[in-house]
Amino acid sequence: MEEILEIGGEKIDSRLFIGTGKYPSDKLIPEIIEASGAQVITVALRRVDFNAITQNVMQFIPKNIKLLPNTSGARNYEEAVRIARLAKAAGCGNRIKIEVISDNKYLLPDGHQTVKATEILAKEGFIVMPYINPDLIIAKQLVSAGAASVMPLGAPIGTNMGLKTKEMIKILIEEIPLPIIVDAGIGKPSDACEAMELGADACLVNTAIAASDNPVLMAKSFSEAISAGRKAYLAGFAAQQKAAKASSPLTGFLYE
Amino acid sequence: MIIKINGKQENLKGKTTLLELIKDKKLNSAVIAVEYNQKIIPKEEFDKIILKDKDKLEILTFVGGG
Repeated sequence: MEEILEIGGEKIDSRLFIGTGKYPSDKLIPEIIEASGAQVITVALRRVDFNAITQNVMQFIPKNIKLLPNTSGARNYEEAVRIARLAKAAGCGNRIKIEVISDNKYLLPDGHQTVKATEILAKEGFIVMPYINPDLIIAKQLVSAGAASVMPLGAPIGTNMGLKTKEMIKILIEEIPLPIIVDAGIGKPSDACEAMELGADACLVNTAIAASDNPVLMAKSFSEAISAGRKAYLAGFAAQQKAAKASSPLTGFLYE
Repeated sequence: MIIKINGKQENLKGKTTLLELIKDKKLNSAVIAVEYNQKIIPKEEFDKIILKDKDKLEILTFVGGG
């Protein structure tokens, strides 16, 4: 079936986006990319560590991959804007995942600061993909601010708790005319599959793959789950019934 | 002259451009971004910046993230 995700005017073949954090070794990344089929991959920006500059995560990311730098570390919109501009200057293109976090226990995003950063960066020509709590009002403000997609969390970052915010994500899917990418909290392929069945446009998975005992196999599993969930959403679900409804005709028995 | 690189003071001898410093530090220009006295410097201008006393540099690169 021909149906391709488009974000900020760019066509994206895979609905599984992956992160590059927490792998036992960055050397695994090329295999993970292949197994997951992912085309969009997130990275973060940090000060150079002059004691460990021999390796860089970028050397493990193939050239045809679309990089999605995040603004992790930003505590307010000014810092997010600064990191986005630096990521662009570093050669990452003009995609940016806005992440503004001031709460260190749950790493929950600051919606208001995120809207401000989105407004500034969208005007500068960035493809802005903000990470938010699934809050309809913030999401609507992001649409007005020029976001290219909305990335609601399923549960706090790295918790693997699954789609705890399912009902709120459903509202965003219904009401927001931008791609909805479920980000954070997805712990199992079935969580990702469920998000896709609801009508999410894509999922971003990092910890659930990176911290698995077999990240490559888990990447493959996520890829299949997302593909299955998307197909189910497109197919449409049969109606639920309270009482049983036989699958075969209730006539023509041998004893009749 | 003394400059600050990523928050740490460093003593540089003689005239040095930003590009020379980057090469000295064995950094790959392709994967870094530089803020020079709080201004982002495009890669093609690294060789035009001549470092002077009290300059502040932030040199960033990519790391794994979600």
